Amino acid sequence: MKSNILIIIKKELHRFFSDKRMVLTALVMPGLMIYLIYTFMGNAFSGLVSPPEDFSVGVVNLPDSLPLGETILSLFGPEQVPESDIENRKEKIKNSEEDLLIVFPATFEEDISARRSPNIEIYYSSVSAASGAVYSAAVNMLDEYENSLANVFDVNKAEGGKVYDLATNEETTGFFLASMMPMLLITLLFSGCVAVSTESIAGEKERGTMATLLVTPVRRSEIAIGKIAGLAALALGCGVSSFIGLYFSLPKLMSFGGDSDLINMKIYKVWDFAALIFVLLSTACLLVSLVAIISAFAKSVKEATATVMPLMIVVVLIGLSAIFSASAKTGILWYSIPVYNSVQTINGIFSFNYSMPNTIVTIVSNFICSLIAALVLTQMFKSEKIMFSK
Amino acid sequence: MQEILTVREISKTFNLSAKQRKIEKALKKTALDKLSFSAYKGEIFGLLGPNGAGKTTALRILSTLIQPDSGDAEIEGISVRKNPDEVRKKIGFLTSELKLDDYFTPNYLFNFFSSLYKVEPSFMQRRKKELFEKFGIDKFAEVRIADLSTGMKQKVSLAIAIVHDPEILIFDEPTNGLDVLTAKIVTDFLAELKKQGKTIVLSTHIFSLIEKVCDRVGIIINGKMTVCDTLGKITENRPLEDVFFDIYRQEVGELE
Ligand SMILES: Nc1ncnc2c1ncn2[C@@H]1O[C@H](COP(=O)(O)OP(=O)(O)OP(=O)(O)O)[C@@H](O)[C@H]1O
Ligand SMILES: [Mg+2]
Repeated sequence: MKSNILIIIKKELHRFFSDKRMVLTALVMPGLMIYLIYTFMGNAFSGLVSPPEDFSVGVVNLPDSLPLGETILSLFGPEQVPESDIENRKEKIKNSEEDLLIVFPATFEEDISARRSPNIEIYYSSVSAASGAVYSAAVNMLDEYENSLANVFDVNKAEGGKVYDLATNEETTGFFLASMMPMLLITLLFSGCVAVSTESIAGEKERGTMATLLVTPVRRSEIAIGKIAGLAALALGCGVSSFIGLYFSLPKLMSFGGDSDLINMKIYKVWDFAALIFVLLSTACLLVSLVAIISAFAKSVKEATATVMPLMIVVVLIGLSAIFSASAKTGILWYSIPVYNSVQTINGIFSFNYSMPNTIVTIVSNFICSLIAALVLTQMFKSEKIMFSK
Repeated sequence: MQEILTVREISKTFNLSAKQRKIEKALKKTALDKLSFSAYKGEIFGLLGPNGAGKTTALRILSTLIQPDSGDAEIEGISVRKNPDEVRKKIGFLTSELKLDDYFTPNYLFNFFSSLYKVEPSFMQRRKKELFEKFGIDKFAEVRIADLSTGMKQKVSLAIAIVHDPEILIFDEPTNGLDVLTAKIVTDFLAELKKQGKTIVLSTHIFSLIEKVCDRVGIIINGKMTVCDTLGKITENRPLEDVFFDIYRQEVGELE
């Protein structure tokens, strides 16, 4: 005879997969959306960062005796404009016909040698992308020139391809992912938990299918454990779907659409991903049981989803903690605090900085908490006030 | 006659929700007040009563969905208070409140509930064939519940309530909301179950259903059992409806 827990797990999975809308919104969409959004953002960023190819710049009183004049000529290929034409050019920039006008005072060269700090005026239009980009390029170039005039010493002057940042590519990637991933993964996992658990607990209560289950000889504890296990598996599926989306789109996002190796997930070993999956599974179990308890109090899916919001905020805040604490905690006691321990372990996994004992404590602690939650849920299933209130 | 189901002075009071308090103008509602009755093996016992009399509450206690505040009920000598898990193995319970999940097919649900009742697979196959044929479910075995008619849903519910071939069946308003054709199938089936020697306790406010199938009747008004006897002794050849209104006037007063 098959165990009732297994029968209920199978039923939960079957229920999920026979609801196409549910499969689409909880399983397929998160991963796909993340992939599309991040890839799109990556491409959009790359468009913002690279300067426009085609622009028209005007310059008044170009200081051609200084090296600055040559730089401007080679960078912007400006048209030399007489002072009388300034107002006319400004109008054209306003109408986006021209992009930039640099106005040097007529006495610029003498002012510089006399150290009189002359003012350079640059007219641009911030609503035009091309104008904005050329403007920042011009300001940067002039700032740099100003620095070189007053040069006392240099810091990290790019010379002979010398590398100063001694962190390896892997470490940079790890550092970045370790701060981002815990929040992303925990939040995405949590939304998966909410989607499947509210439907399965509050939804069954609302539609009267829970009562049908409660009149069978199945023990309440078997229903609670079967549901939590089945839902955790589904929530993990949602989490993994999101992770796959991240895996393929993050490199694109971080390299601004190009194919630089800035973020490369290949630096992680199979073992790292295995640890990640176990941590996520134990976390899914815990989050599912918490959401299940809240859902059991609610009379409808809508009410359950609304009541879950405060928990959502707490979970996201805990996830955010990884962004502010640079590296994962090492003390083993930290890893007995549910949810926080998952955030720390995920942080550690991505920064190559996790230990076996801490990871095991995390997983065990999350499973123990889920078990306690399952006991609470069992009592709730036994309570007629909660299950059959009018 | 063998007493197979005994209800001994069960009482149940509900705390009313804020919404109900406004309507009832009270904090609590006594749904059952020391209700007692018994059912004998092989008979159909009918609980007759108006809306809100406490019929559903009584049957929910028998099926262990809720517990009485005081008193107890025994099914084949097993207490619903002390041993609800065992009681549930003995009974089949059907009420319109128990819904089937829209996303499953009758076939899947039959298998699912059979396995929860630990029905032998070979017995389950035979029983499924028999019940699906009897109720005309076989054509719809792979159609999702959502796409079935109300009558077909009720027939599937009925088949599923008795997957384990229980000796005692508890039916709350078994013909409610059904058209005459489906209602007839259900009442005919009740008679057939009785022929097989099963014991049935049902609730209804429909006089004709009681007259057609019940051996004994309990009339329940405001949570109290007013009379409980064989149909013949209660009616003495008068229409059941007249008898009921006489009792109702005695208990509650004139109808408005
Ligand atoms: N869970 C509950 N909470 C509060 N009040 C309840 C609850 N269940 C039943 N009641 C109240 O108890 C009384 C008896 O209800 P019950 O459902 O047993 O009546 P019934 O005889 O089945 O009536 P009906 O013909 O309407 O089905 C009603 O007044 C009802 O409002
Ligand atoms: Mg009722």
